[in-house]
Amino acid sequence: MESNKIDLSPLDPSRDQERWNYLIESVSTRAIDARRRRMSINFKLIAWARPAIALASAAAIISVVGASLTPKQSELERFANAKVPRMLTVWTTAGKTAPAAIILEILGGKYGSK
Amino acid sequence: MLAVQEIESLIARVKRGESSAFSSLIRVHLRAAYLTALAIVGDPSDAEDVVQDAFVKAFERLESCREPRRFSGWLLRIVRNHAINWSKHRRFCEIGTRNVARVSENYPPKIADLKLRKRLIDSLAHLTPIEKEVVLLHDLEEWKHAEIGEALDISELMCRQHLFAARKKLRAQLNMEISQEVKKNGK
Repeated sequence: MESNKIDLSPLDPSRDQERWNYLIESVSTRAIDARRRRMSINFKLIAWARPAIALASAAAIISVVGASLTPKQSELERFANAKVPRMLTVWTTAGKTAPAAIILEILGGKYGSK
Repeated sequence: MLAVQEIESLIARVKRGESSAFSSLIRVHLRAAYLTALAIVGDPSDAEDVVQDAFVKAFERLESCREPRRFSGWLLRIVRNHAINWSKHRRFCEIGTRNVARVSENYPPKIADLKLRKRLIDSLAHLTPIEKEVVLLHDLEEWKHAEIGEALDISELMCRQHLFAARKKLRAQLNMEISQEVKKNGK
């Protein structure tokens, strides 16, 4: 299937060795400089990141410790803080349900009265 | 082409900042990269500029080469994309080498080469970009079909087909040019 090769050697850039070596040196110098600049930028970013990460970690630890030291409220205290009427709170925490009319009365109106 | 392990070792040394490893890695891959750029931009001096910028980009982001054993394909993709972008925006693109003397300014190509080179470049212009890449990498860089296929992300069979088509077109084009010259000289 393959026909004979065509002589493309005039396109070979390395035929002129001196010129080719100059190109290699030029590319190498630019590549080395660019990579060193890039690595030094990354190094600076990492250097800044470390104290930032340390501060964030400290803040997180303080929050967790603070939350764990805060006394847990009982259910009754939670309902009282939420201003739920005491009768409803007692029924609810005891696992009972009050009749609807009583709930409505407690919540502040004689609903449903005709 | 170096063995895969040698290339992996060079890449590791480049990542550690060893200057000698840069030159070695560039020396191994520069010609293939240049030919890839030439296939797209169509001009040898422009191909030199494009390939310089592409290599700088590649070495800056060397960490993104996840598989060092596929470094050639990864590098040629960067060269190809850079050459395509350059071709699209050639009037507006700020090529980094404008701050650096072009190779062609310090080392102008020899006159004897220019005529032959121009003839081949004009003939290559009648090929598709992938045919150009395949014929240059195979016939000039002497890569195997498997290597070209992996670098260009095509099957070996497609590679052989492109090579066949490329050689046929080139031969037709070169024969036509020779006939035209003979006719011109015969008048």
